[in-house]
Amino acid sequence: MPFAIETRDLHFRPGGGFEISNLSMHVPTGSLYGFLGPNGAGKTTTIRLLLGLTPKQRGTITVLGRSMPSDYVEVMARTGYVPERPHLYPTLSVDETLRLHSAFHTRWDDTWANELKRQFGLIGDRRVASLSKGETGKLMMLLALAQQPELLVLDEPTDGLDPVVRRDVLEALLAYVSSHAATVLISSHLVHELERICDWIAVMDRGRMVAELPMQEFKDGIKRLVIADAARALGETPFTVLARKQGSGGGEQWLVRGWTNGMREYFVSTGGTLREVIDLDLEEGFVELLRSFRGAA
Amino acid sequence: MTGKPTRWRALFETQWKWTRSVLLLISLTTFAIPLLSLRSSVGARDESLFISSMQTWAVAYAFAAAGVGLLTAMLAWAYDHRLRHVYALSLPIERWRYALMRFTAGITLIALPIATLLVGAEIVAHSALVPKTLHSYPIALTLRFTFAALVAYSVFFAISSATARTAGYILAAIGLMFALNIVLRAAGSRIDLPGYLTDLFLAAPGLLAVFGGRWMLVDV
Amino acid sequence: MCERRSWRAGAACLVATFAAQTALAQSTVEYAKRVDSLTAVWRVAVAAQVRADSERVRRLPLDTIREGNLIVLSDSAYATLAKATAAIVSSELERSYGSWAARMRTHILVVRRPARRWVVDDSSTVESGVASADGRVLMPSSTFASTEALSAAWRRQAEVALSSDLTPALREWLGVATRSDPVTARTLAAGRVDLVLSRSRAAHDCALGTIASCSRALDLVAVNEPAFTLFDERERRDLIQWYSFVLRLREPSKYARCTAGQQAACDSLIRSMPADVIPRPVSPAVRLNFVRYALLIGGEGAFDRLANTEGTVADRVAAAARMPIDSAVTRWQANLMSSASSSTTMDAATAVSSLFWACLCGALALRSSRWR
Repeated sequence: MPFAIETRDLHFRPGGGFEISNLSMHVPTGSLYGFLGPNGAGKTTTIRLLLGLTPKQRGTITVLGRSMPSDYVEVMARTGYVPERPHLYPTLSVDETLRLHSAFHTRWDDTWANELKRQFGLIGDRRVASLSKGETGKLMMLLALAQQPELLVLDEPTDGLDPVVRRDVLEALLAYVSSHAATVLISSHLVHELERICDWIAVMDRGRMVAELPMQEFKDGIKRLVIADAARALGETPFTVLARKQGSGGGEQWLVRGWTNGMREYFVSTGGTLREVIDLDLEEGFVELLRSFRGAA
Repeated sequence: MTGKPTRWRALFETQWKWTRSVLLLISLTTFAIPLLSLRSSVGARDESLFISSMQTWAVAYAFAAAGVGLLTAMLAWAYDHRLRHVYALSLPIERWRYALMRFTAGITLIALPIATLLVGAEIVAHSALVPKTLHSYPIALTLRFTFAALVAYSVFFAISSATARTAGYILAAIGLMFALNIVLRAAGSRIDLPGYLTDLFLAAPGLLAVFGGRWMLVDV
Repeated sequence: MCERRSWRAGAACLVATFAAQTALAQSTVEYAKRVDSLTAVWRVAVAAQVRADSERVRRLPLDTIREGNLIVLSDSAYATLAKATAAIVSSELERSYGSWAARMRTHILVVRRPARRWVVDDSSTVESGVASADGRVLMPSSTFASTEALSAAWRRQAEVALSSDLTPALREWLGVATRSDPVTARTLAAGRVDLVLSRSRAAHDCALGTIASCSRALDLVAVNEPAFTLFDERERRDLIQWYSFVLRLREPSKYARCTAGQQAACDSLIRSMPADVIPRPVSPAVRLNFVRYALLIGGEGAFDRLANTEGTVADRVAAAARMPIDSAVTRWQANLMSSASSSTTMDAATAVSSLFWACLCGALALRSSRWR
């Protein structure tokens, strides 16, 4: 099973002008798949569609080799889910929540759940409603991990959490992944966080997939080129020019994707002098990618 | 807590936690109604007045049954509604089975006020204050209460588990009926749609027929 | 000048008043005369209607049908219906009344088209009744032209007719016509309800098992001061209240003292009430229930014995039951009080329909689109 999650031509229109159309997604099995996108891009809606929480209108969804939403029972038994907003019953205590969750998950590891509870510093008889945001986030992660899933779907699990809590949560996640070879789909606004832990990245904007590729390829492939005496008309280029703008000092700055060092030859043949190749971090690359996508749209 | 509970038991425990305060209050009420009805009837001059006095409490039983059903059903879904059903929908269980478990857990919970009603009714039935020429029907009364509470619970459970769209359809249908009635009346027709539908619901074997009729703990 | 004007105005007023009164008096007399004349006209019209009715009876081509103890005068169009109905009713009356049913030969039943003034060209209904000697139709009733409906009408009419042949004392004691339908457990249960809900101490004691009270409640034995023997203090106060419209005028001071709480005044008022104003301790339905039970245990010929035995009502009933009156009362009371009605609070149909609705709503909940 090469892909833990696969969608083809997924379509969903909830109304209000927003639409997810022709979404194709491929989450490789065993990967840490970062799902990036601005607010309102459709990340949470996509996740809900993947897990059958929202019925799709068209297209196919395959999760862990099973068709969704028809096989949701088996899929959800093997999937740990942390939603964007807390979904736990506020009047139950931590222990009661664990008890309820364990009843529905046959692979629940009680020992490890207690270990995580200790690690996260959660007190068993405290009500969920009285937990802080960080404690709630830890509890949701605990529930997802203790059921020993093959797939973890995390919708902004560290959003709003302080750095200490974020570290605790991510450490527990990475420890699990390394010991269980699970697949993780994690959506987040915190680009640097995803940059550190993910080996695949997908960018979504306005209901469409903008890019889906290995993280390193993304980072390596997007560069800013400083060029002097560039030709006005570009012609065919071995790389994709995302944007051109005038730089300071008379030259131009090009934002390109798919750059490799061997492409320096292009400037030799076309004229223009390549002055500098600037590496972009994930955030810069993400921002520029979105700009070019929206400009093209 | 020792041992892993069954799924049904886990859901039942959550519903018990949400409902127990209200349920205990209602159980006290259903225990008290028979005793209060006896207390108010004891001074009656003769058997017919005794029965009339007992009969005035009939509406209390009907309201209690409706209240038990309504509150238990709404509390079964209250927190799921608040959380937009995300937790429930993400559980690895068929959705109809989840709804069925909630349904049966609620039915189990309403056994408590039914039991307290039976206790109160039996106390009255064995009381020396009931005229010897009259008979007590604690079992029949409790059975009627049980069925009425069951019907009320089922109706409100179905309403609570429906989507907002379905609720909208129901409200729209009710509104349309009233609008149609106005048009018919304006056209001079004698058809009384709300009255007809009310009779349909209240007359046997209508949906609410169990709430009508006689709720007599003591009768001739 | 002013004085003359006022004098004239006053005189004019007096004259006008006198004239008005005279006119009013004349109008009142006139109205009275008009009422009298209208009453006379009404009487003439009723008489004419009766004659026309009798004329109709004589003129209609009525067939005479004899079936068992029944004689029926029937419009030719309904002869078949009448014959079939007569066969049914005749056998029922024989079963219930025994040889007393033969008296129906003196009460001729009539079946005819409805009078035009009631129904116009309606062939689905017929008019039935009992013919009187002077050609009138007594107890007319309009029923559907079916054996079931006509049987029910004739049954009622026969019950009244056969009861009217009983002695005045027995008729007066019964207060209602006898019934021809068989006595069932439901009959006794209904009698129990009537007895328990009767508002008299005698009925109450009877329900509790005091047989002597039953005899008194059923009016089988004479009692001294029935108001004091059969009713308790509160019930007597109710009697006084019920008869207050007379007592208040006749004995105002005593009434006031009784209302204020003086028991002696109340007792005196009770004693001043005519005997026929004091109600019987139980309703006619209870007495009828007792008689029907006596006829049931008396078996064959019971009604004949009830009707033909000389003596008091108690003697007649004892003869009908073929046992001493006390034994009859004891058995009746025991059977009555043991025939508890099933509770009206819960019945199988309500239970089944409730379960149906609960299951339906439960199924709808499972089928909600949120859960599919």
